[in-house]
Amino acid sequence: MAKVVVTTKNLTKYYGNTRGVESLDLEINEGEVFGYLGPNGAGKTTTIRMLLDLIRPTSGQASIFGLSTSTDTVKIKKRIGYLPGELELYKNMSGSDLIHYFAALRGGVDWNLVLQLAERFKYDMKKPVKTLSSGNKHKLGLIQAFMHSPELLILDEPTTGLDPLMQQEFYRLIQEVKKEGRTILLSSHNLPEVERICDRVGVIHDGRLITVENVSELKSKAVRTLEIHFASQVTAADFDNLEGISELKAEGRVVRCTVKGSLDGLVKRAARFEVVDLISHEPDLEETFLAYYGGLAN
Amino acid sequence: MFRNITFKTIRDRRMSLIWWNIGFVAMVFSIVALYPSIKESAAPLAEYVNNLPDAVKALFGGTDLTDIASPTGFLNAELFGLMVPIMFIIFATGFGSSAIAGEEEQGTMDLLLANPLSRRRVVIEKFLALALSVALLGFIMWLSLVIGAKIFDMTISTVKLAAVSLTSVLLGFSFGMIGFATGCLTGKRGLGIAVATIFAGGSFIFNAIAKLVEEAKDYEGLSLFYYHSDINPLKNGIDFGDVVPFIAVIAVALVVGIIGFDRRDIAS
Ligand SMILES: Nc1ncnc2c1ncn2[C@@H]1O[C@H](COP(=O)(O)OP(=O)(O)O)[C@@H](O)[C@H]1O
Ligand SMILES: [Mg+2]
Repeated sequence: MAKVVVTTKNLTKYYGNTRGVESLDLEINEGEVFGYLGPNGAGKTTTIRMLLDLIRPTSGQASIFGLSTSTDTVKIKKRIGYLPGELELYKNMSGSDLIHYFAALRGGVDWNLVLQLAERFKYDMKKPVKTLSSGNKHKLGLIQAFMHSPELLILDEPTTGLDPLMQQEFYRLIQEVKKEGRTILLSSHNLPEVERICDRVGVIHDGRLITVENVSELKSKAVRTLEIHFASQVTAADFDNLEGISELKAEGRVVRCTVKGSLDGLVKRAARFEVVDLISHEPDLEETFLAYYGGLAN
Repeated sequence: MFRNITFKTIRDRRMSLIWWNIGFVAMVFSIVALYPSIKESAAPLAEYVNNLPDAVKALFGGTDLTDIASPTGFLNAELFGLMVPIMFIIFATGFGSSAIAGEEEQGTMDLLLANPLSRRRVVIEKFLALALSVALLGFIMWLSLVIGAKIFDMTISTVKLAAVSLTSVLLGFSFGMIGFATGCLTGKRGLGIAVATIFAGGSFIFNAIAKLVEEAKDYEGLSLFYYHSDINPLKNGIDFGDVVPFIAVIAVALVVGIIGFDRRDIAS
């Protein structure tokens, strides 16, 4: 049994009458990459900011490393790295000044690691923060989160604003951290991303945790829309009796449909004809939720 | 400069600090430079001042005004009665109100608090930044006065100049702390400035009223201005008891700030 690093019990946050999250029970194990997946406004940031003790639960509690987030927050924060969802940095400092400042406040930062991270992300530390693009600001945010090799990383939408190349670099970094046995909690509204880098996924919608699953299970439930272009005319009847297919429409040489889980059956059927193009749209998170958990969520 | 929150906060405001200090030096010298010519025309001036309505005199912090030809009377009338308190209050209120709330409104508080620091520690370090900055301004003012008095032949005790500089600092600091505490409680910089300004304005007006209205006289000690103007530190010096009201206000505001900031949600 892996050690549990993060636990929440009945964690609830209301902003006045607005629900942030409700009755959240979550467990994150040591050494795993846990994806916290949900559309905008689902309650990801609310949860994460409660873990950091930036906002206080309306009811329920959370603990990290077995320490209460409300009474032992300083001890906890020594051992975690945090990337805020809405990252704001001191505009009047250079990146290097900013990292020096946080390194001094934190203590025990290995400057070589800072330089290594900056190099990896091709980030120029000398530039003043106010001249940085949002992507570069984000890199600075990542550097300060990783610079002290924390046991737990809590990253709120860490790839938003990173260009694709840097995203790949970030994914590699995550894998390295995982190899070292450290734990990562990251939030995302992007299903393919979570499928790609996470071990387990907690799906949150409208302030409620809908399910926690291994990524492989989630994949088998993903809903995506597919478009297949053929060399010649096809009909809907050519694609009947396929499992997991819905909303199938054939128009001339093009077939559009929604596929749940495996694409295998559809692809094999399509192979009977000459395929010109196959376009798979990113699985829609909202649709995935509604298709599978809509009933549970209510 | 980035070793701790206090130094970093002061560094953030270094340009503003430099300009404030330059402004204070300029203000002190331009007033003190007038002294030789005032001394010459002392008699008609004293008569003019004597004939001012009591209400106007009250606004300038007391009876000493008739004594405008003496260094003490002159400095009280020209600097310490109104100008210096206002300047210190503006400086300290602006600084204090944004110390916590400004960082929150900027959105950088999340990252700052992600470091292994308690909220109390953040409040205390910000408080120290305000204290050091306002003390520096007071020290520079005192130094300008001492040097200015030498140059323009003004005979006045450097110790008593220090006393009035101290009450000026403490007066500004006290109202600055009201803005500071409001910022800690609400996270709103503008509200901090508004609340501090209301307290400062109210105290000033009450101090003036207490001189004119018999019934208010018994309560004159409720206004902090009383401990700066009416005690007249430039003439009488001060002892520890005179600064207790300031220290009490500052201490209460600090405690309120610590507790207030510790209890609430940080704005996102
Ligand atoms: N400071 C706040 N005041 C009021 N409502 C808030 C605040 N922060 C978040 N909310 C609300 O709480 C819900 C969850 O928001 P959030 O946790 O930011 O979602 P996510 O990070 O998943 O996009 C949303 O309905 C949002 O409008
Ligand atoms: Mg968010």
